[in-house]
Amino acid sequence: MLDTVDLSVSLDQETYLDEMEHEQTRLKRLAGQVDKQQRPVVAVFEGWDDSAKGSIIRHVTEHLDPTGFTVHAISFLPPDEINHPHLVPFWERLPEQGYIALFDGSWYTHPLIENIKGRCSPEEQERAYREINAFERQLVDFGTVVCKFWLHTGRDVQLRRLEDREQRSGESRSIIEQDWFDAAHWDDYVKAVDDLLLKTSTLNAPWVIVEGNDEYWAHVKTLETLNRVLAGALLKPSHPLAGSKKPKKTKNKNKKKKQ
Amino acid sequence: MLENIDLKKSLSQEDYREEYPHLKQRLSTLQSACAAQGIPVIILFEGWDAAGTNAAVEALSACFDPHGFTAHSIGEPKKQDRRYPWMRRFWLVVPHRGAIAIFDRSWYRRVLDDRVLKRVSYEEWRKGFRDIVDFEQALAEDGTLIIKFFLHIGHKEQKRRLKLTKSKPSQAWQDRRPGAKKRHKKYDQYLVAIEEALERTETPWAPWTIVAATSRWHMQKTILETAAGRLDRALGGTVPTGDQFTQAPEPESPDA
Repeated sequence: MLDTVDLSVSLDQETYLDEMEHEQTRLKRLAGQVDKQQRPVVAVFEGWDDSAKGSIIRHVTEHLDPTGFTVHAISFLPPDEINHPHLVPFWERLPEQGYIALFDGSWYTHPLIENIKGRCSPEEQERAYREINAFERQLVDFGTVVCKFWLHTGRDVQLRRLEDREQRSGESRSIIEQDWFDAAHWDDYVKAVDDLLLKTSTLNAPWVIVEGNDEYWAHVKTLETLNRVLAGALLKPSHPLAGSKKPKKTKNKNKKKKQ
Repeated sequence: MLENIDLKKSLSQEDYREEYPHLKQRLSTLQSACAAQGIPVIILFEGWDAAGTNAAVEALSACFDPHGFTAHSIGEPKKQDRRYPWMRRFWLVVPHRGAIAIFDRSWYRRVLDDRVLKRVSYEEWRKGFRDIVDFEQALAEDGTLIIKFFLHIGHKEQKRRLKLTKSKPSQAWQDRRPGAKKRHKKYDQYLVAIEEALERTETPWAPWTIVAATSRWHMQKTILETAAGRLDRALGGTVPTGDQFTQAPEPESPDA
């Protein structure tokens, strides 16, 4: 699946700045609607090491109201949470109605690593994906807008960025070494990721593959997709129900109970 | 399904008292074995109003070390809970490895109370069945032992008990859930909902035990025995029985 992605796409700076201004303004407006219509939003960012997930999230949130979103950085499971089924920490971090949660790393991180390192059997693998699909289905049933991005970079770009990082950043030696080790196992990664994308891309919550070799392109495509999904899921601002701040599902229910 | 349950089963309090210490000892042993092996356990009680889920929880919790279990009484979702997918509040209280969670009422509210009293739409409770089965499957495959009890009493018995609470204030705990009388009038609708729920959520990894709860002592004994049996099987039958366990080893005589 990943080998059919055209990584040569790019944008020049002028178009990029234009597009970004347009998309970021649009996202700001849509985020206002998210709050008004009380819809929870989940955006998942997964990708290779050095695919610049962090920078994309920074650009997504740049002009958003900081009280309306949370960024969850998930790199590993904290030790006390291994005590539980692997989805528990994510149930905990779900956004409330009207809030946006951005996941830098997500419920996919742990199963993927386990798969690549060969620490789980094929059955366990299937089970993890089945549970994830059931999880996402429940989110969508509830009215959550779910958006999943896979940031794909070519191997050459990954290696170049890693070299860059090794020379310039003050990151600890062990992290860099680990990343070099991971980069050497590129083929295993591609296989595992292909499998993951195939099995967890559902009608409810499809994956969007973002071509990440060119950062400009990646930023614009992510924002544009997010905007499109949000616009599709939310009611038009002109809709009579869109202005009410109360969630429409519980509005009537609460009234009934009081009587 | 429920009409096949023999509600006349009973047990005298004396007989129960005789068996109780053994069961208590056994359950306590099994609990420490579960904690040692890191098996999470969920024991949940569903049942008619006034069927005695409270008494059941009390009887069971008296057998366990309080460090190792948490009892959850599940009422209507709070306002804050409604702002998330409905299953979330249960995911947040699943027992960690080696712990026991006892639920007095549970996620089955969704397909029982919420359905009969029309608190959620048809689609919502329909989907509830699948959410529940997925939830229990995920937990079971993660290693959780799930023991589900349904306490069954007849229509007349329920009526009698609800009346009792009026004349005997000391029994008022049986009517702690507000609106029990209102729900009693919907007995038939509840019956339909309960039967469907029991049928659709009966799985190899989380089977139901339907307990005839007319006699309190019979009900408590059945629950303690079933819980002990399920725990024992989950541990692979490796735990020595209570009597052997408590017996102090014979002091070795210096002559031997």
